[in-house]
Amino acid sequence: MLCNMSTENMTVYDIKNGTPADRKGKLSISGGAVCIDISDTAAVMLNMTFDAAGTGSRVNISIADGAEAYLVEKYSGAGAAALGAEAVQCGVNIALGRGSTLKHQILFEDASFTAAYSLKCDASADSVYDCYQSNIGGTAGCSTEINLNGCGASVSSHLIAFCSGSDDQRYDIRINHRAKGTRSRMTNCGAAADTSKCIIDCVGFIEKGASGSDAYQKSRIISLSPHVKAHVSPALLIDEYDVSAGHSGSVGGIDAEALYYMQSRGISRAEAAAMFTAGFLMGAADKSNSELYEDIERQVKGKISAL
Amino acid sequence: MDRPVLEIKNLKASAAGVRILNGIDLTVRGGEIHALMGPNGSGKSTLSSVIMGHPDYTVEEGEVLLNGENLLDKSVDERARAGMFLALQYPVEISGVTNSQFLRTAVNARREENNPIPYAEFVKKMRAAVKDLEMNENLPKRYLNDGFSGGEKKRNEILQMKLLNPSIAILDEIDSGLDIDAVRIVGSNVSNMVKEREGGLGVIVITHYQRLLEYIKPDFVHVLSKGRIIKSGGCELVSMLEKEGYSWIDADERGAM
Repeated sequence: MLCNMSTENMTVYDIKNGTPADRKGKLSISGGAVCIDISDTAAVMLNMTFDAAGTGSRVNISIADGAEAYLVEKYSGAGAAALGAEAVQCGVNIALGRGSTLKHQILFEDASFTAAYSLKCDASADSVYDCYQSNIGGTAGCSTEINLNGCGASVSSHLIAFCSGSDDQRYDIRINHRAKGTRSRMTNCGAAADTSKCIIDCVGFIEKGASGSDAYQKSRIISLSPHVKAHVSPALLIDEYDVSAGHSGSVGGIDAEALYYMQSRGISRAEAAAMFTAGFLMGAADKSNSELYEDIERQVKGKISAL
Repeated sequence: MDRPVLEIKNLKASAAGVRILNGIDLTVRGGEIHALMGPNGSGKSTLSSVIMGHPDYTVEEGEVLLNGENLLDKSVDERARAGMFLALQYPVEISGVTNSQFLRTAVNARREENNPIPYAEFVKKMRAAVKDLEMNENLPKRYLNDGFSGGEKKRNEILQMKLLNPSIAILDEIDSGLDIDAVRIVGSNVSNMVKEREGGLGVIVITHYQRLLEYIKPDFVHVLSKGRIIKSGGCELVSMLEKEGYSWIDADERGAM
């Protein structure tokens, strides 16, 4: 099993401006895209860095039938502070074989570039996909499409989004149930401060023929300033009988009773708000990799304390 | 050690424009245990919330002094750091914040800015408190009250009280939702804290039932009705209430008219 894995044990591929530094192991290049084929059990880290405008990356990842993989994608823009809007485009396509398992972490670590990110995952029968995306500051447009193509495929999708200053983050997340007995869980947690924008549009679509499927989504944005623009659209489209589905979405301030409770123990209002917000966001993080968890937590707390 | 003194003088307060407290006078000193009883809606929980500074309530008149210092001018957290503690009737669940993280932050909030409690010392104190309250050892890692049973939440309130060492603690129906054993554990822990602090801790216990007061023996018992304390006495008042309920209140008030 690859759970509780440290990043030390991962095969690391450094990909700069869309080009890999070397072509070792499971990596190859095809049609301008970086291809990674995982046929057994593997843990892979992709270090995606950019230092030139107009660059991008295309990555195709294929997980063979029954294989189990752990994938970490880290995006950073060292030296890319001067990149313009929509400067970096990243597209990741994932094909999950029958009965395969993928845990996938996507970390936007640096707010110094604007990213247009798209993720597409096609999941075969009985495959399991756990996806954790965190974007701690910066401007980004992220599009996610997960297709549960085979019977019994399941996905658990998590998003942490933090926006401050004039950040503009937009997320389109769509999960299509295309086969019987498929299951989806979507949890999106955002926090927006200053004059930032945070928009989360989600769709859970149970298509005709996908009976016995189960779709659930929960999205919430905490508004930390009256000047933010925050919007959640939790949509369910159901085109089949005999399914279960649920959705919820909210945008609001920090729970006043929680603040009162924390203050009643002597914690200042500002610190209580910071703890609450960090806790809220980290609720969507993966806890099985303590190293990455702490890294994300450090970034979240750093951003909040800078407000 | 100087004994703390909480003085409540002619306290009148309202919520959403409706007057709930109609002139409360009460003095609680360190080492004393006061039981506050009364029918539902008499203002017991409102009194505790007003003392702690809940934003839903407006103080219209009166004073609340802790060691001569006006609490009503202070924010909620300042009141807590001054020495007040309120164990809530319905503790709030906060996901993503662990008990340990929350408590350590709260403990440090009461210390000087550059003198946080050493981690090992905090862990030692927390483990001892967890053991005293017969709680699950994984409690520090769990999110604050998240998924706790009613009884676990109430014990967790007392755990916080043990670590925060307040001067005056108000326990708002800490016995509701507790089974017989848990009432004993909570009651004896509170009672021990009062004894061990040797006059450094005064307690107001809000309850409907005699059972808790078998473990936390009150020095004074007060009956609240319609936002006023209408009767004060000793433990004999608890026995009388247990036997007769509150029906005598209306008769007494009619007699007084």
